Amino acid sequence: MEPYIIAGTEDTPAITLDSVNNIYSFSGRSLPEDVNTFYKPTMEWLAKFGENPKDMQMEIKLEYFNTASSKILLDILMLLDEVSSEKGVAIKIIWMYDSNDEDMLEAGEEFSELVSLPFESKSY
Amino acid sequence: MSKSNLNFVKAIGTKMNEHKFLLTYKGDISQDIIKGILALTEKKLELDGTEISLKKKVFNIMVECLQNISHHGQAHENQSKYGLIMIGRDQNDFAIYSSNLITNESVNDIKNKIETVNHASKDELSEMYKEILLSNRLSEKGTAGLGLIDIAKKSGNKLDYHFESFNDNLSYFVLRTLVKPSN
Repeated sequence: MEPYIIAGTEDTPAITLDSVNNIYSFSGRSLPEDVNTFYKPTMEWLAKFGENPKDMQMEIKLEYFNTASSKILLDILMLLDEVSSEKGVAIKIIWMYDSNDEDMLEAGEEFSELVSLPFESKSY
Repeated sequence: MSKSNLNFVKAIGTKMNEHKFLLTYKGDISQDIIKGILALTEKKLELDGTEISLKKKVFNIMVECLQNISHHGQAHENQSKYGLIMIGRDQNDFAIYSSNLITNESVNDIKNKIETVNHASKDELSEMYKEILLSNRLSEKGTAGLGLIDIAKKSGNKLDYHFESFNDNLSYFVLRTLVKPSN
Protein backbone atom coordinates (compact mmCIF):
# COMPACT_ATOMS: atom_id res chain seq x y z
CA MET A 1 0.00 0.00 0.00
CA GLU A 2 1.29 3.46 -0.99
CA PRO A 3 2.49 5.43 2.01
CA TYR A 4 0.81 8.75 2.78
CA ILE A 5 3.42 11.26 3.88
CA ILE A 6 2.97 15.01 4.19
CA ALA A 7 5.12 17.72 5.75
CA GLY A 8 3.83 19.90 8.56
CA THR A 9 2.90 23.57 8.22
CA GLU A 10 2.26 26.35 10.73
CA ASP A 11 -1.26 25.01 11.28
CA THR A 12 -1.30 21.44 10.03
CA PRO A 13 0.64 18.40 11.28
CA ALA A 14 3.29 16.30 9.59
CA ILE A 15 1.74 12.91 8.88
CA THR A 16 3.45 9.64 8.05
CA LEU A 17 1.34 6.59 7.32
CA ASP A 18 3.76 4.03 5.96
CA SER A 19 2.89 0.35 6.24
CA VAL A 20 5.95 -0.68 4.20
CA ASN A 21 8.40 0.65 6.78
CA ASN A 22 5.99 0.47 9.72
CA ILE A 23 6.10 4.16 10.54
CA TYR A 24 2.89 5.82 11.64
CA SER A 25 2.97 9.28 13.15
CA PHE A 26 1.25 12.63 13.55
CA SER A 27 3.39 15.51 14.79
CA GLY A 28 3.38 19.30 15.06
CA ARG A 29 0.24 21.39 15.07
CA SER A 30 -3.29 20.64 14.11
CA LEU A 31 -5.19 23.93 13.97
CA PRO A 32 -6.96 23.95 10.60
CA GLU A 33 -10.41 25.52 10.53
CA ASP A 34 -11.61 22.98 8.00
CA VAL A 35 -10.46 19.73 9.59
CA ASN A 36 -12.69 17.56 7.40
CA THR A 37 -10.93 18.55 4.20
CA PHE A 38 -7.47 18.35 5.71
CA TYR A 39 -7.94 14.89 7.23
CA LYS A 40 -9.87 13.34 4.33
CA PRO A 41 -6.82 11.60 2.76
CA THR A 42 -5.77 10.37 6.22
CA MET A 43 -9.18 8.83 6.91
CA GLU A 44 -9.20 7.23 3.45
CA TRP A 45 -5.72 5.78 3.95
CA LEU A 46 -6.65 4.36 7.35
CA ALA A 47 -9.91 2.89 6.03
CA LYS A 48 -7.93 1.10 3.30
CA PHE A 49 -5.31 -0.02 5.84
CA GLY A 50 -8.18 -1.47 7.87
CA GLU A 51 -9.11 -3.84 5.05
CA ASN A 52 -5.78 -5.62 5.32
CA PRO A 53 -4.18 -4.39 8.53
CA LYS A 54 -1.02 -5.32 10.38
CA ASP A 55 0.34 -4.54 13.82
CA MET A 56 0.82 -0.82 14.29
CA GLN A 57 2.47 1.53 16.71
CA MET A 58 1.04 5.01 16.14
CA GLU A 59 2.99 7.95 17.52
CA ILE A 60 0.99 11.12 18.22
CA LYS A 61 3.25 14.02 19.09
CA LEU A 62 1.23 17.20 18.85
CA GLU A 63 2.33 20.58 20.08
CA TYR A 64 -1.12 22.12 19.69
CA PHE A 65 -4.48 20.95 18.44
CA ASN A 66 -7.81 22.75 18.21
CA THR A 67 -11.14 21.33 19.39
CA ALA A 68 -12.22 20.49 15.84
CA SER A 69 -9.07 18.37 15.48
CA SER A 70 -9.83 16.57 18.74
CA LYS A 71 -13.02 15.29 17.13
CA ILE A 72 -11.05 13.95 14.16
CA LEU A 73 -8.41 12.44 16.45
CA LEU A 74 -11.14 10.52 18.22
CA ASP A 75 -12.50 9.34 14.84
CA ILE A 76 -9.02 8.07 13.94
CA LEU A 77 -8.62 6.29 17.28
CA MET A 78 -12.07 4.70 17.04
CA LEU A 79 -11.37 3.49 13.53
CA LEU A 80 -8.10 1.89 14.70
CA ASP A 81 -9.85 0.46 17.74
CA GLU A 82 -12.39 -1.25 15.51
CA VAL A 83 -9.72 -2.55 13.13
CA SER A 84 -7.74 -3.90 16.06
CA SER A 85 -10.65 -5.77 17.63
CA GLU A 86 -12.22 -7.01 14.39
CA LYS A 87 -9.06 -8.11 12.60
CA GLY A 88 -7.06 -9.14 15.63
CA VAL A 89 -4.02 -6.94 15.03
CA ALA A 90 -2.12 -5.21 17.85
CA ILE A 91 -2.43 -1.44 17.63
CA LYS A 92 -0.82 0.74 20.22
CA ILE A 93 -0.81 4.53 20.64
CA ILE A 94 2.28 6.35 21.83
CA TRP A 95 1.12 9.73 23.14
CA MET A 96 4.06 12.15 23.25
CA TYR A 97 3.79 15.36 25.26
CA ASP A 98 6.11 18.20 26.21
CA SER A 99 7.19 17.62 29.82
CA ASN A 100 5.96 21.18 30.62
CA ASP A 101 2.59 20.62 29.03
CA GLU A 102 0.26 19.04 31.54
CA ASP A 103 -2.78 19.83 29.36
CA MET A 104 -1.38 17.65 26.58
CA LEU A 105 -0.76 14.77 28.99
CA GLU A 106 -4.36 15.09 30.23
CA ALA A 107 -5.68 15.21 26.66
CA GLY A 108 -3.97 11.86 26.00
CA GLU A 109 -5.52 10.40 29.15
CA GLU A 110 -8.96 11.58 28.05
CA PHE A 111 -8.59 9.96 24.63
CA SER A 112 -7.33 6.75 26.20
CA GLU A 113 -10.50 6.56 28.30
CA LEU A 114 -12.68 6.73 25.20
CA VAL A 115 -11.18 3.78 23.31
CA SER A 116 -9.86 0.39 24.32
CA LEU A 117 -6.53 0.71 22.46
CA PRO A 118 -3.47 0.57 24.68
CA PHE A 119 -1.94 4.02 25.26
CA GLU A 120 1.54 4.84 26.42
CA SER A 121 2.28 8.43 27.45
CA LYS A 122 5.85 9.58 27.00
CA SER A 123 7.25 13.02 27.76
CA TYR A 124 9.91 14.74 25.67
CA MET B 1 -0.59 66.58 9.18
CA SER B 2 -0.35 68.83 12.19
CA LYS B 3 1.26 67.65 15.38
CA SER B 4 -2.01 67.68 17.33
CA ASN B 5 -3.62 65.31 14.88
CA LEU B 6 -1.06 62.69 15.79
CA ASN B 7 -1.62 62.94 19.52
CA PHE B 8 -4.08 60.06 19.42
CA VAL B 9 -1.22 57.68 18.56
CA LYS B 10 0.55 58.53 21.78
CA ALA B 11 -2.76 58.35 23.67
CA ILE B 12 -3.45 54.86 22.35
CA GLY B 13 0.10 53.81 23.19
CA THR B 14 -0.28 55.16 26.74
CA LYS B 15 -3.60 53.34 27.19
CA MET B 16 -2.03 50.11 25.96
CA ASN B 17 0.82 50.53 28.42
CA GLU B 18 -1.56 51.26 31.29
CA HIS B 19 -3.47 48.05 30.62
CA LYS B 20 -0.28 46.14 29.71
CA PHE B 21 -1.63 44.88 26.43
CA LEU B 22 0.80 42.54 24.77
CA LEU B 23 -1.25 42.38 21.61
CA THR B 24 -4.42 43.96 20.31
CA TYR B 25 -6.24 43.47 17.05
CA LYS B 26 -9.55 44.77 15.82
CA GLY B 27 -10.93 44.10 12.40
CA ASP B 28 -11.69 41.44 9.88
CA ILE B 29 -11.15 37.86 11.11
CA SER B 30 -10.31 35.60 8.19
CA GLN B 31 -8.23 32.41 8.07
CA ASP B 32 -5.12 34.29 6.92
CA ILE B 33 -5.57 36.98 9.57
CA ILE B 34 -5.95 34.27 12.24
CA LYS B 35 -2.68 32.68 11.13
CA GLY B 36 -1.00 36.07 11.34
CA ILE B 37 -2.38 36.82 14.81
CA LEU B 38 -1.30 33.39 16.07
CA ALA B 39 2.21 33.83 14.68
CA LEU B 40 2.41 37.22 16.38
CA THR B 41 1.01 35.77 19.64
CA GLU B 42 3.66 33.11 19.67
CA LYS B 43 6.47 35.54 18.93
CA LYS B 44 5.32 38.02 21.58
CA LEU B 45 4.99 35.35 24.27
CA GLU B 46 8.41 34.02 23.35
CA LEU B 47 10.05 37.46 23.52
CA ASP B 48 8.26 38.03 26.79
CA GLY B 49 9.96 34.98 28.25
CA THR B 50 6.65 33.34 29.17
CA GLU B 51 7.06 29.91 30.70
CA ILE B 52 6.08 27.08 28.37
CA SER B 53 2.98 25.84 30.20
CA LEU B 54 1.45 29.35 30.29
CA LYS B 55 2.48 30.09 26.72
CA LYS B 56 0.72 26.96 25.53
CA LYS B 57 -2.44 27.80 27.46
CA VAL B 58 -2.58 31.36 26.13
CA PHE B 59 -1.91 30.17 22.58
CA ASN B 60 -4.60 27.47 22.78
CA ILE B 61 -7.15 29.90 24.16
CA MET B 62 -6.31 32.36 21.38
CA VAL B 63 -6.90 29.61 18.79
CA GLU B 64 -10.34 28.78 20.18
CA CYS B 65 -11.36 32.44 20.63
CA LEU B 66 -10.32 33.33 17.08
CA GLN B 67 -11.98 30.28 15.56
CA ASN B 68 -15.12 31.00 17.58
CA ILE B 69 -15.23 34.50 16.09
CA SER B 70 -14.57 33.13 12.63
CA HIS B 71 -17.34 30.51 12.90
CA HIS B 72 -19.99 32.33 14.92
CA GLY B 73 -19.23 36.04 14.56
CA GLN B 74 -21.76 38.11 12.66
CA ALA B 75 -21.22 40.97 10.27
CA HIS B 76 -23.20 44.19 10.50
CA GLU B 77 -24.93 44.93 7.18
CA ASN B 78 -22.35 45.01 4.41
CA GLN B 79 -19.36 45.36 6.66
CA SER B 80 -16.93 42.49 7.07
CA LYS B 81 -17.12 40.19 10.05
CA TYR B 82 -15.43 42.05 12.84
CA GLY B 83 -13.63 40.79 15.89
CA LEU B 84 -11.56 42.24 18.68
CA ILE B 85 -8.85 40.24 20.40
CA MET B 86 -6.41 41.40 23.08
CA ILE B 87 -3.89 39.82 25.39
CA GLY B 88 -3.23 41.69 28.62
CA ARG B 89 -0.46 40.85 31.01
CA ASP B 90 -0.24 41.69 34.68
CA GLN B 91 2.92 40.31 36.27
CA ASN B 92 2.66 36.59 35.50
CA ASP B 93 -1.08 36.56 34.86
CA PHE B 94 -2.59 36.79 31.42
CA ALA B 95 -6.04 37.89 30.35
CA ILE B 96 -7.35 37.09 26.88
CA TYR B 97 -10.20 39.34 25.75
CA SER B 98 -12.27 38.56 22.70
CA SER B 99 -15.29 40.37 21.37
CA ASN B 100 -17.56 39.96 18.38
CA LEU B 101 -21.12 40.41 17.22
CA ILE B 102 -23.55 37.53 17.67
CA THR B 103 -27.22 37.10 16.87
CA ASN B 104 -29.61 38.03 19.67
CA GLU B 105 -31.07 34.50 19.55
CA SER B 106 -27.72 32.98 20.49
CA VAL B 107 -27.21 35.17 23.59
CA ASN B 108 -29.03 32.82 25.97
CA ASP B 109 -27.40 29.73 24.55
CA ILE B 110 -23.88 31.15 24.98
CA LYS B 111 -24.73 32.47 28.44
CA ASN B 112 -26.00 29.05 29.53
CA LYS B 113 -22.90 27.33 28.16
CA ILE B 114 -20.60 29.70 30.05
CA GLU B 115 -22.59 29.38 33.28
CA THR B 116 -22.45 25.60 32.97
CA VAL B 117 -18.66 25.52 32.57
CA ASN B 118 -18.25 28.11 35.33
CA HIS B 119 -20.08 25.84 37.76
CA ALA B 120 -18.16 22.72 36.79
CA SER B 121 -15.12 21.34 38.62
CA LYS B 122 -11.98 20.33 36.72
CA ASP B 123 -13.11 16.70 36.64
CA GLU B 124 -16.61 17.66 35.56
CA LEU B 125 -15.18 19.72 32.69
CA SER B 126 -13.17 16.71 31.59
CA GLU B 127 -16.31 14.53 31.70
CA MET B 128 -18.29 17.11 29.71
CA TYR B 129 -15.50 17.30 27.15
CA LYS B 130 -15.42 13.53 26.66
CA GLU B 131 -19.21 13.29 26.51
CA ILE B 132 -19.49 15.91 23.76
CA LEU B 133 -16.49 14.47 21.94
CA LEU B 134 -18.27 11.10 21.80
CA SER B 135 -21.76 12.31 20.99
CA ASN B 136 -21.42 15.34 18.71
CA ARG B 137 -20.66 15.15 15.05
CA LEU B 138 -18.66 17.94 13.48
CA SER B 139 -21.01 20.58 12.12
CA GLU B 140 -20.82 21.62 8.50
CA LYS B 141 -18.73 24.58 9.62
CA GLY B 142 -16.34 22.08 11.20
CA THR B 143 -17.14 23.09 14.75
CA ALA B 144 -17.17 20.51 17.51
CA GLY B 145 -19.15 22.43 20.16
CA LEU B 146 -16.17 22.13 22.48
CA GLY B 147 -14.64 25.60 22.30
CA LEU B 148 -15.90 27.10 25.57
CA ILE B 149 -15.28 23.89 27.55
CA ASP B 150 -11.74 23.74 26.20
CA ILE B 151 -11.16 27.42 27.03
CA ALA B 152 -12.43 26.82 30.58
CA LYS B 153 -10.26 23.70 30.98
CA LYS B 154 -7.10 25.47 29.81
CA SER B 155 -7.85 28.55 31.89
CA GLY B 156 -8.71 26.85 35.17
CA ASN B 157 -10.53 30.08 36.13
CA LYS B 158 -14.10 31.30 35.82
CA LEU B 159 -14.89 32.88 32.48
CA ASP B 160 -16.03 36.50 32.58
CA TYR B 161 -18.51 37.62 29.97
CA HIS B 162 -20.67 40.52 28.97
CA PHE B 163 -23.44 40.98 26.43
CA GLU B 164 -24.63 44.30 25.12
CA SER B 165 -27.37 44.97 22.63
CA PHE B 166 -26.10 46.36 19.32
CA ASN B 167 -29.38 46.54 17.39
CA ASP B 168 -32.61 44.57 16.94
CA ASN B 169 -30.76 41.56 15.58
CA LEU B 170 -27.26 41.66 17.01
CA SER B 171 -25.43 41.91 20.31
CA TYR B 172 -21.84 42.41 21.36
CA PHE B 173 -20.34 39.45 23.15
CA VAL B 174 -17.23 40.02 25.26
CA LEU B 175 -15.31 37.15 26.84
CA ARG B 176 -12.41 37.47 29.27
CA THR B 177 -10.33 34.40 30.04
CA LEU B 178 -7.64 34.40 32.71
CA VAL B 179 -4.49 32.31 32.71
CA LYS B 180 -2.47 32.23 35.91
CA PRO B 181 0.65 30.32 36.94
CA SER B 182 -0.36 27.23 38.90
CA ASN B 183 1.97 27.88 41.85
